[in-house]
Parts: sequence; structure tokens; C-alpha cells
Amino acid sequence: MTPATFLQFAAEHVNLLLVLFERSEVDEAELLALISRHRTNSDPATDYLRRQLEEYNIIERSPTAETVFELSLPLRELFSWLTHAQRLSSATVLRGYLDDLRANAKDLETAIKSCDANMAVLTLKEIDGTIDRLRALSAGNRESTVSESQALRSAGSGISAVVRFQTVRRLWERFLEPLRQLVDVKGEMDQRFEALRAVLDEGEQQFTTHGAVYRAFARTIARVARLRRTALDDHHSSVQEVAPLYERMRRENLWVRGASSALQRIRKEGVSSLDIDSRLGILSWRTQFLMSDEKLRARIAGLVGYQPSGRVVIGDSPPTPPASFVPQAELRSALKAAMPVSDVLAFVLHSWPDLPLGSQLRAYGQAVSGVFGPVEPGEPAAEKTYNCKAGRIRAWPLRLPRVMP
Amino acid sequence: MTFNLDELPHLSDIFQKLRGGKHLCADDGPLFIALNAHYERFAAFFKAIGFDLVKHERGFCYFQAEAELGKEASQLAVFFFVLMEAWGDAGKDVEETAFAQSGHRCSELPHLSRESWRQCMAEAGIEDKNKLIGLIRRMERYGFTEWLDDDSFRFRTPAWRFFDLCNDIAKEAAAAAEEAARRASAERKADV
Repeated sequence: MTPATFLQFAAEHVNLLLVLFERSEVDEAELLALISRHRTNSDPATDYLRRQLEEYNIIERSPTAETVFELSLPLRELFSWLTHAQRLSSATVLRGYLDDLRANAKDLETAIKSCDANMAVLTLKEIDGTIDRLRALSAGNRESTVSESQALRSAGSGISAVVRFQTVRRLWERFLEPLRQLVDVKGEMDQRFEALRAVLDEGEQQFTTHGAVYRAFARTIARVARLRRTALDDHHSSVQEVAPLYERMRRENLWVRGASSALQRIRKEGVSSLDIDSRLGILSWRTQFLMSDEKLRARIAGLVGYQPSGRVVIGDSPPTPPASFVPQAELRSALKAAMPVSDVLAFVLHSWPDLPLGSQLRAYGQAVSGVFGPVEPGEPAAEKTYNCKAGRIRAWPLRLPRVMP
Repeated sequence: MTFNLDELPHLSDIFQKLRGGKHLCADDGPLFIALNAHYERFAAFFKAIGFDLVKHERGFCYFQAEAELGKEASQLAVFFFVLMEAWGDAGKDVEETAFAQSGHRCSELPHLSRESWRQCMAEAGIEDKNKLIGLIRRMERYGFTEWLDDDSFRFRTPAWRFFDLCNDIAKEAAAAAEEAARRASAERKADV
């Protein structure tokens, strides 16, 4: 088998190979059926094609069963790349390559110090390989992230919101976040490249006169610069792709989980347990027994031009009940007429004997308050007992010599 | 405080709608445009007469009450919870699905299709399709839905209030689960 024959065979049977890539595993019968379905009239017999698939190492027996076949690893990787279906490489995988680079950098340092051009070229070749693999992984991660994000975005139905969120969260937490720490400026990857770049610069100077070695150093320096740039770009693109999706699904997941928890509580504890009324606080203010605008308008229209049928007579008001207190003017004129009043309390009790005791005392209080004139202690200056309808009152007599105008 | 009522366009219509519990949004045209443009003035005026006007970040307004609707509020919420769970289970983009302009067909509503949902709806007092349709009509009164034809309706922007409700309940449930885990851990430590 030469590369040319291999590629020609692959090109002639590309549809069959794609189906095998999608199926991941097929048993003998399925394999023969697939070959038969994709075989054209000009193709050799089915059995022959099946043998060719094995001879070209396109398929290999699965470790799970002898009669089960799968596409061989190099082909799987090739088709993953061709169909943008690469697998995500975790930060751990990338870190492994970075460790290789660190070991390579040490070897290179030794070669530079000992001016060993052969050793330097060999190490540079290894470094180039590692850098290329890192770049392929970085690009693969970007492709894979974009593919997975698109698949999640377009997953209209079938996958529940919770599962979609788990998928995107895994993408974010398992791959993107650790990778961010790795590829960030001044992150682990940046530091390794910085150290490697210093060694490469030193080697470039050391082997200035060795044309081929000098060019090998220059090529590796260019590769490192390209990887630093693309790794950051790839990661940035992946984050841009996933971040809005992650946020959207996080919110969706929260809503769905909220609804599910609410329904669960309703089933267990009843609908009142959620206190939805006060949470929503929807106003529902409805007026009752209030005339509508239309009715009011009709009523007013009916009143327009109203003519009363006859004179309305307002009946006489009932007689005013007798006052149960002594008006101030009446008190003043009574006191004025009796001036000088030698005992104000005796005067009040005598002048309005039928009033309730409270009203008599209110009149007495007003008479001695000073509004009608100053009062003086009466004679004799000793406590005295007064008789009234309500009983007996004990008080010191007070005299009102004159009533002020 | 004095108010120039001439500076509050459509005041009477706006008040009539809001006091009935309606949520006003861009779909309500001139009423919402006036309310949105003069929100501060309207809010101050309504505050003075005892109403709390709320402007939601998603672009709609409503009167916030203490607790008014009783059972009806629960029915509206349970209706939405079931829809949300059904959309989530079906892997649909819930936001896009909820506000799809094509709306939702009453004949395709999931509420009475699953035993657990039927139980929840019955708990809220909705046992059959007629009551379910009646509930959707009541949702329209509050401005949450709009009928497109005899069998289909769509959610208006104010339905975001139910998303908020789901959000709050999810956060409470998460906090409760966290608290339970913390207690369990403390008890285990105490046992040791």
C-alpha cells in the first residue's frame, strides 16, 4: 500500500468511510451490508472490499469483540478533523504537551551550551512536532466547541433543558475555564513559551554561523509565536461561542428548576404553601354599587328641564330644648345686678337652683375665674357647708366685690 | 403636593386598566407610550392616591398590591409552572417558545395530559378543559395573554412576571437544599 493507493481507495469509498465513522462500531453482518449498499457496479465484490478495508488498516477489530469493527484511530482523527467533529482536549492533555516542551527546552539548553548542532536540530524537530500538536489541539478544541454550541443551539427538542445545561456547563467548567487559566496572558502556557523563547533566542545567537541550524531555530521561534497567538485566539473564539449559550441555559435551567420545584411543593404541601398571591401581588380593585358613567349621564339627561309639581313646604322646627348651663352673658348680668356678691357659691346655688350640680359648679368656676373681676376671701374665713339639690358642698366662701365692664 | 392632570395623558383609561390588575406593555399602544414617557409623574400621582405603580425592567407597568387575587393568582402561576416544566422536558428554548408570535393552541396544552400536572391543576381548582380555557381568558384580563383566534393565544411581555416567580422559587429551593446539606453535615460531625 502506498499513500497514493490508500488515498485513491479512500476517495472512491468516501461515503462508506463516513458511515463507518458515524456508526463508530459495526458487526460483521452490518459491515457487509454497508459495503454492499455503497458498492457501485464497477467495484470489486463485497468480500474483496471488506478485505481491502482491513489491509489498508482502515478498520480494525474492536477491543470489545472479535466480530465487531471500528474505524482505526488515524482515520477517526482524520474524519473528526474533516467533519469538524474533533473531541475536546482537556487542560490536562495540553499540560502534558507543555511538560514535554519544558523537557525539550532543557535538552536544547544543554545542546546550546555544548555547541552540539546535531543535538540542537533533533531537539528543535521534537519541539516543532509538539508545537504543531498543541496548535492542532487548540484548533480542534475551537472547532469542537463551536460544533457543540451549534448543536445545543439548534437542539429544538428531544434534549431537556436540564440536560442541555449540564452539557454546556461541562463544556464551560471542564474545558474552557481550565484552558483559560492555561492560555491566559501570564498563564502557565505563556510562561512556558516565554522560557522556551529565551532558550531559542540564545540558540539562534549561538548558531549564527551554522546556516541550517540557525534557520531551524528561526523556524521554531516563528512556530512558537504563531502558537501563542492562535491559542489565545482559539480560546477567545470558544469563549465567545459558549459564554452567551452558558448564560442563556443557566437562566433557562433556573426557570425550569423553579417551575419543577414549585410543582413538587404543590403536590406535597398544597398550592397555598407557595404564597403565590403575595408574591405576585396583582391588584384586582373592582368597584361595587357605583353608578356607571352611562347611567349617570342618563340620569342627568332625565333631570334636564325638570319642573317641580308644587311648592315644597318645610315644616316648623321642633322647640329648642332648655339650656342646661348658664350662658356667660346671663351670669355676668346676674352678678352685676347683685354686686357686691359676698358669697359667690351661695349666689350661684341660689340663682339657678334647678340646674344639675355640674352646670352649677361650671358657672361658679367661671364666676371666680377672674373674667368678671378679682375675687377675695369671704367672711367668715372658714370652711362652710352649702346645701343644694344634689347634696352638700363644703367650700371656702369667695367674695366678688365688683363686676368689671 | 399638587398635580396637573393635563400632564398625565390618558390618565382615566390608564387608571381603569391598572386598577383592574392589568399589566400594560408596548402592545397597549398609546396608553403604554404615555405611561412610559411620563412614568415618574404617573407614579407620583398614583402614590398620592394610594397605588404603587411598578415599572418592570422588561418594559411593562402594573399596580403592585399586597395580596388581592387569592386562589386566582395561584391558578395563573400553576398554569405557567406546568407549561415551563413541559417545555423544559421537551428540550425547548423556553423563552423563545413562551413568546413565540405563532402562540399556543389551547387544544395542545399539556396541563391535563400527565397525572402529576393534573394533580397540581386540580389542587389549584382547574379540573377540566373548560376551566383551563376560562383561566386563559382571565390571564388576558390581567394583560398576560392575548387571544389570536378561538383556539390560540400568545403570551405578552408581562408574562415575564412568571419567569421571575420561577427564578425566585428556584433560588429559594437551592438555598433550602444548601441549608439542609449544611445541617446534615453538622449533624454528621456531631455524631462523630
